[in-house]
Amino acid sequence: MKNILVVDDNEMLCRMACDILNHEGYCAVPATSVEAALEAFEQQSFDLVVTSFHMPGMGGAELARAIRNRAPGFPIIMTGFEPVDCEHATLFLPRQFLFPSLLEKIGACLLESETRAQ
Amino acid sequence: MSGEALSEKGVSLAEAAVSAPLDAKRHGEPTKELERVLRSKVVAQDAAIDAVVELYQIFLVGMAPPDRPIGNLLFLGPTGSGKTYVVEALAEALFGNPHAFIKVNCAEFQEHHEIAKLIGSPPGYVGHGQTRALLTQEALNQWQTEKLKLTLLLFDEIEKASDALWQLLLGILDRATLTLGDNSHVDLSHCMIFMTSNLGAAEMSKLAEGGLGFAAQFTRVNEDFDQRISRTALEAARRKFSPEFMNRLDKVVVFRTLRPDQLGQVLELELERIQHRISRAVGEQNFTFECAPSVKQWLLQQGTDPKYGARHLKRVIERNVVYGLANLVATGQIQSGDRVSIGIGADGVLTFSKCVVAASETATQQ
Repeated sequence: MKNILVVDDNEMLCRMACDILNHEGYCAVPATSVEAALEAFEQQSFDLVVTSFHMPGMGGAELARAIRNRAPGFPIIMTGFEPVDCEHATLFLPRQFLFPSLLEKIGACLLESETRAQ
Repeated sequence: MSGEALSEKGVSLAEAAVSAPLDAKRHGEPTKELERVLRSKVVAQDAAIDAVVELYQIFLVGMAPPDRPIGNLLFLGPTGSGKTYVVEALAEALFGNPHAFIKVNCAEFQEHHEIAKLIGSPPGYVGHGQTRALLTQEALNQWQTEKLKLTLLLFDEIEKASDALWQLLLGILDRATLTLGDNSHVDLSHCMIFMTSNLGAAEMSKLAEGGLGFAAQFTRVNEDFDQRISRTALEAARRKFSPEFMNRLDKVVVFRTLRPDQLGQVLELELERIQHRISRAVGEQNFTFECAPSVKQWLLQQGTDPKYGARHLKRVIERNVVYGLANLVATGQIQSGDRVSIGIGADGVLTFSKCVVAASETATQQ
């Protein structure tokens, strides 16, 4: 089972997204701040991170940079209202159309990541 | 009245027992509770519930035969009638988790060598020590609790199993033991074994279509139709499965084709489940939703049909209702405490609107 870290300061979305991902057979863990996400990332092994770009304090870009410093090339999906240029994210998804796109992109990212590892 | 007193009056003990009849079918409280929960979750499959509940009662009182599984059940019937769902509902009722059972999809074991995925490769064969066997003792015991030493094991679509899997299955059903590739033994005497099959699906499909067209037949699902489906499925099972397999079964249940009103009940249950899921996921930040009758009709049209029953209903609800609500949460359009009404537009697309409490009503409440 693939482990996914979902980071969003909108707690309701964070939990609901995790529920949908769990329903699809993933093991999703919620984090409502970058600090909580980094702590979770240290303690547990993840296969992919989904993060919101705009968050109070440290945002998605900082989180992506911190994760890629620890694990270069780690798959990260960034979400936001407007397209952002984030060199550390694998791809960007507009929040207006998060589902079902997120599920399709997660599948593609994980597959790419596995292929690269082989 | 003592035995001596009875014989004095010329009444035998056997006759006296008749005056105080016992009810062999009465269930204990835990079994009644299980039955209640299953009936609240499963629509129109009373025979399946009765079979499961009876075996559970036998298990609880310790009367299950030794050295055999607790029960071997074969579920036959049309696609989307709820064969797998009964096992999920049972897992949820017993363990609080609808996924708390082991599922062996027999379609994945159609080739002889694929049996290694189930029991591991023997020493000297490719994959020995690398392929993790699915049916280990550890895997079987993973959902058991201190109070409930019971495992639910599902073999899905058994008609697709290879001969190697059939041999394995016959051994399991008869002796409740399995020898893995590494020569270790697995005890399946605490397992309730379910097998599902769509055998006779083609004949059932013909019955469903009746050559008269789709919509016309939909309204003709009745008792007679169920009996014909039942006969068709049982005949197909007897043709395909060997007598030694059929003899090892404790129960064979043919699932009923769901009538339109029953599909409506399934939809209501699914929508309730979604609301419950959202509440559990978001906790105190809960919001509620309601679907207009036209939406329910639309979901039924998209997610059900006589051929596939309610098979696609969950997926249709997930894609249209759950994803839609999640996107509204993602864009901040739904907040905690909101009530969302789901309707359908002229273009056939679902519409979401927030129920706003009128100012005068708010003032009255204050």
